[in-house]
Amino acid sequence: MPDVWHYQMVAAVLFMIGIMGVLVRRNVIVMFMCIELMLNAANLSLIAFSRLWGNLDGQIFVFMVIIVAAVEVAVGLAIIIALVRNRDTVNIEESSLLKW
Amino acid sequence: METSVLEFTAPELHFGTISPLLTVALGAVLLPIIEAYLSRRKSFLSRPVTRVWIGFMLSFISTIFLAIALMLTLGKLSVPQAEVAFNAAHPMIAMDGTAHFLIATILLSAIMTILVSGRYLADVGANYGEYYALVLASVLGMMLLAASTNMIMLFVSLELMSIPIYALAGFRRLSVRSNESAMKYFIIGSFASGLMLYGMALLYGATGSVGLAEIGTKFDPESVLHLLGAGLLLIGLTFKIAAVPFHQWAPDVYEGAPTTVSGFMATAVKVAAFGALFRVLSLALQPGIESLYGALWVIAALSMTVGNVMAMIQRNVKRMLAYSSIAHAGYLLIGLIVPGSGGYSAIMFYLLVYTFMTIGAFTVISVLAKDHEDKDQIDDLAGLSVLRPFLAFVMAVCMFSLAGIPPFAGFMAKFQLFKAAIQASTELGDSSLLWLAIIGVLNSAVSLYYYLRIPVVMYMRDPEREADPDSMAGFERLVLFVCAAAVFVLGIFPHDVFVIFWDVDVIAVVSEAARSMLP
Amino acid sequence: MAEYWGLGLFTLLGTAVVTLFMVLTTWLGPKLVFPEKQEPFECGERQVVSPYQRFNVKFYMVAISFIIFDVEVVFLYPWAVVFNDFIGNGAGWYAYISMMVFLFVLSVGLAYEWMKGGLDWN
Repeated sequence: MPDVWHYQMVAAVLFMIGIMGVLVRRNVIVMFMCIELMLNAANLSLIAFSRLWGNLDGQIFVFMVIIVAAVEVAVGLAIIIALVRNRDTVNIEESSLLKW
Repeated sequence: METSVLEFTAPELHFGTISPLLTVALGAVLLPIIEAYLSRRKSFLSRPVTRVWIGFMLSFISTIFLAIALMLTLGKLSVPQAEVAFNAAHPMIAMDGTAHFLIATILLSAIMTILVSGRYLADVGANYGEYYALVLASVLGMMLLAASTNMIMLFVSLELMSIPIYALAGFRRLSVRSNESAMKYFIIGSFASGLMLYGMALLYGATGSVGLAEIGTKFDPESVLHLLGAGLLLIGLTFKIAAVPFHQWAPDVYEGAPTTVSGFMATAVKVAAFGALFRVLSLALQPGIESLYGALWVIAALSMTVGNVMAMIQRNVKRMLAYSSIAHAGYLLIGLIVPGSGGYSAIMFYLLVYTFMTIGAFTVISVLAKDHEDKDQIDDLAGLSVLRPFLAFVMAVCMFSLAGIPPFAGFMAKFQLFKAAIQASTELGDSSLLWLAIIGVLNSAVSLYYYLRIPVVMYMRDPEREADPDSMAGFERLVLFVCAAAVFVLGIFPHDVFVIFWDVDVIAVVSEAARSMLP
Repeated sequence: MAEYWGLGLFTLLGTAVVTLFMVLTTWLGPKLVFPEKQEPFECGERQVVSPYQRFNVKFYMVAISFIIFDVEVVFLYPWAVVFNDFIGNGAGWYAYISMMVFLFVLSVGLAYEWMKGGLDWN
């Protein structure tokens, strides 16, 4: 039987994949997906800990995070669409008007 | 099949304690509907409906909501603490003296921002009515953030604050700079909230509770899991206050965002995030404060130094103010790590003063915008004392105050902060706090160079262009006057002001509240 | 373990049916190869336009509204499941009003989008 710490390992790995993705990838949409991966890693971790402690706080937290993530997606996509309409690129390195 | 019966009793709710929050929430819900209704009408009360008129109406309505909330908050601030929780059975927020003071500061910042936004937005061609609803939604998040004592509320309110601001940063949607600014802020901001959320998950796993106070009773500074969670949570919050090394986004975002939004971000977001940091450190992480002290010390010292040094080489006023806000985050962090309540009450006063000086400076820049373009290079200010004497005067006052020159309020604020650090260091015999205060004083000296460059350019150089027609709206004049006056008055009578207006020394109330929160 | 025999039977049956159909189609079906069939989006029709062209931005509008409104069910579903327990504890109105406040805020969002023309296709 997998115990709580197995789930924590998976969550930690997912979280690291998310962080590396944001730091390494240069496509805004992909970076964005990696951020969602980070949030979901935290969700998995919360659920597993909720099981460990036998209280529901962690699960309630996850509901809130799901909603927040959805709202973030909506606003983020809108921002990216506005940028693409003006710039025609989703590569973050071409966004370089603002420097120093 | 037998259904499990949940044990539940309806909690007793005290809506009176959260009346300012309810007012702003109602405004945030109603404004989009009013905007959509007005923009579908050809005429309203036999008056033709134009974009400018809608903008004016919406700013008027939102100011009324914010002003009512401010009145309610000030009323609560002036009565001695009646400790009634909104929901005593499951406390998520604490509407105490600290929260009320921070909320009042946030509301002041929001009101001033909204009053100066109308003409600026029309000028840069972004006069959409959603602006006001977004500001109100964000203010609601900030108010909750400053009061939250629970990790769930902390996360949700932080996002409620940030998400409208991502949209506001990109509000000039035809300007590529604004788009880029919004995108950077969005990516970095949500990355930071991802880190923070994972930290919260680890803290929950380590202690089994989401309430900050319960976490404080179980926090074990020896355990790696506890410290990792605390560290990630703090990283998420330091991103929001733009402290080094998590500051890279601030200059880009402040430069690209509409100027009024930059002023709002620099002040209100910082106030709310410091409120959250204050609660997290004093409630949840108090047992581990010694393990985190070193890291916070380094962050404070680095923020002051990097912020001030980088500000010296800027040619854009908005970027310069962004680096200056990073430096001020460093000064404020000194107050946060000073043990005892002296540091906390110094922070409260500093945040209030900082709000007035920064909104004043950003408002001057926003007034200068012309023909869909920001005039935000330092060279654009040349000879402003001849062209627009009032603007030049207010800008000079704000710069002197930001630099911390007596008798302006910025001096009083810094003085209290450094005094608290030095007092604590002599009491505890801990020289590291003394060193931090010394670094702070040295940095203030360095900052004179770039702050004073602005008055020098405005007063000593000849104007390079023709005088603009004075298109300032009455509200902008009012806000600039209030900022300059507040900077003078708070500098000369820092405590008396509050006594005159509300028969109570608010700073004393807040220090008392801060003291009562500490173990 | 005994209660899982149905699952085993279902797995066997499913595998058998799929295998049967696959064998029958390879055996009985006609085999024609023409260029259109070899394309990535194979359906036997010639492509009218390139699949790499941009989507109409209206799809994004629909997608964004969908994300917002569909996720709210996350709150409605658990609420509906335990609503009877709330009534049993005498907190029925409390639970009902709480959810109605939430739905009111949500419907304000919908009304705004509607009035702004976010739901019109043209």
